[in-house]
Amino acid sequence: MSAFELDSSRCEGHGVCVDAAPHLLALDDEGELVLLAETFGDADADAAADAALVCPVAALRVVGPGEASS
Amino acid sequence: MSTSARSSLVIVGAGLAGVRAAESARNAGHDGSIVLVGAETALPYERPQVTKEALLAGASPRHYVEHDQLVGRLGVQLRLGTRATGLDRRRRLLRTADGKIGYDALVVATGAQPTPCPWGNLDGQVSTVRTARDAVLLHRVLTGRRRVVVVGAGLIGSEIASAAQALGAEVTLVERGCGPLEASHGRSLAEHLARLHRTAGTRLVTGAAVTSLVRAGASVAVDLGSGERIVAEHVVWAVGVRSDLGWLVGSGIRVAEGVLCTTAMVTNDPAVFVAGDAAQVVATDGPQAAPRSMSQSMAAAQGLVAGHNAVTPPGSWSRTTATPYFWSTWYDRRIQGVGVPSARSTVLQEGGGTLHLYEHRGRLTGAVGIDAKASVRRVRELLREGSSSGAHAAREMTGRPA
Repeated sequence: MSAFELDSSRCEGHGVCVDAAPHLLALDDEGELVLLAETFGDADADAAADAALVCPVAALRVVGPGEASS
Repeated sequence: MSTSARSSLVIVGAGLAGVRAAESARNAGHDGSIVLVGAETALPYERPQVTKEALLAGASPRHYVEHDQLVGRLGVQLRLGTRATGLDRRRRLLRTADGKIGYDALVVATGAQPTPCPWGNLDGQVSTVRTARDAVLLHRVLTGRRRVVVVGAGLIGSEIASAAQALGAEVTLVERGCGPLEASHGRSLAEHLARLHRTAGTRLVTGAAVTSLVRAGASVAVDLGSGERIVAEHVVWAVGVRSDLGWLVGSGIRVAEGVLCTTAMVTNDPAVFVAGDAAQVVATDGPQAAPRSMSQSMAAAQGLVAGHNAVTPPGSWSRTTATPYFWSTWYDRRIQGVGVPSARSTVLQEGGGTLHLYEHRGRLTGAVGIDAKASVRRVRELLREGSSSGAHAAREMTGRPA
């Protein structure tokens, strides 16, 4: 299992990531990013990786199993 | 998946598109080398901040990635402060000011540079803004300057005018159209955005072209076609950007305004890819491509595709499908554009904000929101679902017609 790591000091709620993985990410009514699942499996790995890479402000990262957050 | 352990990916340009290409190549299983060549000496940083936060604060923008992440985690060899000077496709060599670098696959991500002022920089009294260094220098210049003229009321010019005003300058913004973004987004939005400037106290002169720029003692005299002369201590030239592709001349890579590529971000040479502001997508290989969209979010999306495709065989190439998106902040108002504009627009009010919805032949194509985050989010969803008419979208919005 992998997980998203969201840097909320960077996230500005642009929502570009949501287009890449709408089943994993959403914006709430205040425009804050919500992670729909704490972790995800291999089937979602490509969509999750793309979601992190399309973020225009580098607020989202994918961390692999056992990888410590910094 | 990966080409070979020894294969070498060289990325020219260390902005967001270049960094994303490197990350994407690693995600695709590339275990060969990655060399990231950047003309600026700074680590990759958030360019949208250059004319926003960095200009206001006089500080460098945030980095996208720190040195250990790039070098340690991604295994990228950094060649910063190195300018590309030429390309030898036959021998697969990138020429730089510091020598040659061999490649198996190359990603061009050299971005765009401000169109220079035709009257020069008048010993520093006229400037353009693109880099972190430009922002820090301009912050110093603007602080304490009484009168500043900004030429061009596009997103960049408007952001600079807003920052200059916040720094205490008396700002005149000179624009050819009737307001910001008229050429791309039409009159209704342009007039609305013009009001933002005027309400904030910026003097916006529309329908105006600069006919000459000359020094007048310690000041600069800006002459307009109308005969008006504006005297200022400093002038910022913000009349668009262009990609400097002179280093590709003679390489055989096809270029027009940008490097021509398909939606797979590949050029006419299958070993050479392009991403970001330097790219010009031509739809020869599938659905109609969106108009050239030079934005941070397009740079990221194209970098992702270019990096992936540069290290994988053509059968597994991905293509750009990203919805164009930009954002801008003037006078603490947030402007967001999603999708593509079209000739027909509907204006809706949302709380304290406004949404300009665009439709073509009854179908929603995009929107620009001013302090309308929730509606912009909904438009993004409708565009993703791909089935909405403009009228349907308008009904969906909580607002009422303006």
